[in-house]
Amino acid sequence: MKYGDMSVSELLMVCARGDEKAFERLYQRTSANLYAVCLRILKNEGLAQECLQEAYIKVWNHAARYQPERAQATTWMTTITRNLAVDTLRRSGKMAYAGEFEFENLSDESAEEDMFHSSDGRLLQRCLEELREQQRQAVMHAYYDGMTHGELAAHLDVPLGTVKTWIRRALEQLKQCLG
Amino acid sequence: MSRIRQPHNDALRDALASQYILGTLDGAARARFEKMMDSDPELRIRVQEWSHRLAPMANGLTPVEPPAKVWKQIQARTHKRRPGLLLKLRFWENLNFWRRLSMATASLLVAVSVLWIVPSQQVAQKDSMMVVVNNRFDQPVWVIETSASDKMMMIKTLRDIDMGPDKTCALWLTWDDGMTMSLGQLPEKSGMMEMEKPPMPGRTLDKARVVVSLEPMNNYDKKTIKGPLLFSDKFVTI
Repeated sequence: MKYGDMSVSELLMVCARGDEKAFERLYQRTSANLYAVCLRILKNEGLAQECLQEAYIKVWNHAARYQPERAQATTWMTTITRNLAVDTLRRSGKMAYAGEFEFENLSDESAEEDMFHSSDGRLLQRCLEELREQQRQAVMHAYYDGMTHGELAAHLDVPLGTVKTWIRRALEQLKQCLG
Repeated sequence: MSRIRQPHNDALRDALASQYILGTLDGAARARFEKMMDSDPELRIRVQEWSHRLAPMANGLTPVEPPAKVWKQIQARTHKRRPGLLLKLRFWENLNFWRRLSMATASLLVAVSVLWIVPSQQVAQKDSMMVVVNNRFDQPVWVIETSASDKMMMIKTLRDIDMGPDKTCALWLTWDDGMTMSLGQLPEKSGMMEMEKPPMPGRTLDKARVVVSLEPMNNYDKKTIKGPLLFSDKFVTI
């Protein structure tokens, strides 16, 4: 089987053995998706490129720790990337909210439309739509803008306790809806 | 040394796991939660479940091609680190370790001693061949590993599967000229097992396709694949 025929999960397992060609193919297959995650959270091209670079270094160094029985390869890589992006955002000491930068494809609406492309995404989309508007906004800002409870309270101008309740109930409802 | 109190309340554990993945825990709370996860496998599973639930939010973004310079920078950094990489592979995650361990007639102690003595680079065989069998959700179920010179195949079952009381997953090797060899039933419980390779005069594994079909549990025809095909792919040589 050639590299081009391998799944992302197979490429990761081969990367764990130090195969640089597999790593290059993995990058070609996944970097556009992961760069979109970095851009969506950081909303700054320079920071997003640094984030992407760090994400792949981490993937390369930790490929042997990937456990296919526990998570899909793309989910594992996305989690690494998103955590790095959120950490970068928090280290930079300021939030880069959508609207402050001109990225046409970074609005909440485009992200929501794109979720429809997979069956999991369609189900999650439907479940998000069933949330109360304030709850949904809080979840979206937390996920895409990396806001903590405190930052959400300040951004939405509501008490901290209210935000915590919105988030907790929203996540409980999402879990129930997703089954 | 301070100890981290593990939350016992089921709802609280789930709430913390979900908020960890959503990203709403602040720095100190996040660090505490990560320490809890270190010693709490069940909590780690909850986190993975939440990661999977919310993954479409990230996976659904419109892809954006990064500039070419990013790959060059990554390549420059990874190339320097390459020699140490195999040493990072935890030995129990190395299929070669399990293959060697199970084939050894010596005791477990001797096998482990050999592993410590032999450098990792030597443990990884150059002619190792592997195929990962995915289910319809693209989740890996079996990892099959062997080499051209090995008489056995090592099969790692990554998750328990249930094909029903009267069905089984049959493993085959096929070649382009129509030659088909039965290798037997694939295990349904997670773990490791060895399977003997049948003699294959004049044929090589790199030309073979690994096929999994759904067959009756007992007495299925070992000469011909009759059931529906669940998987078909070639080995990758590592």
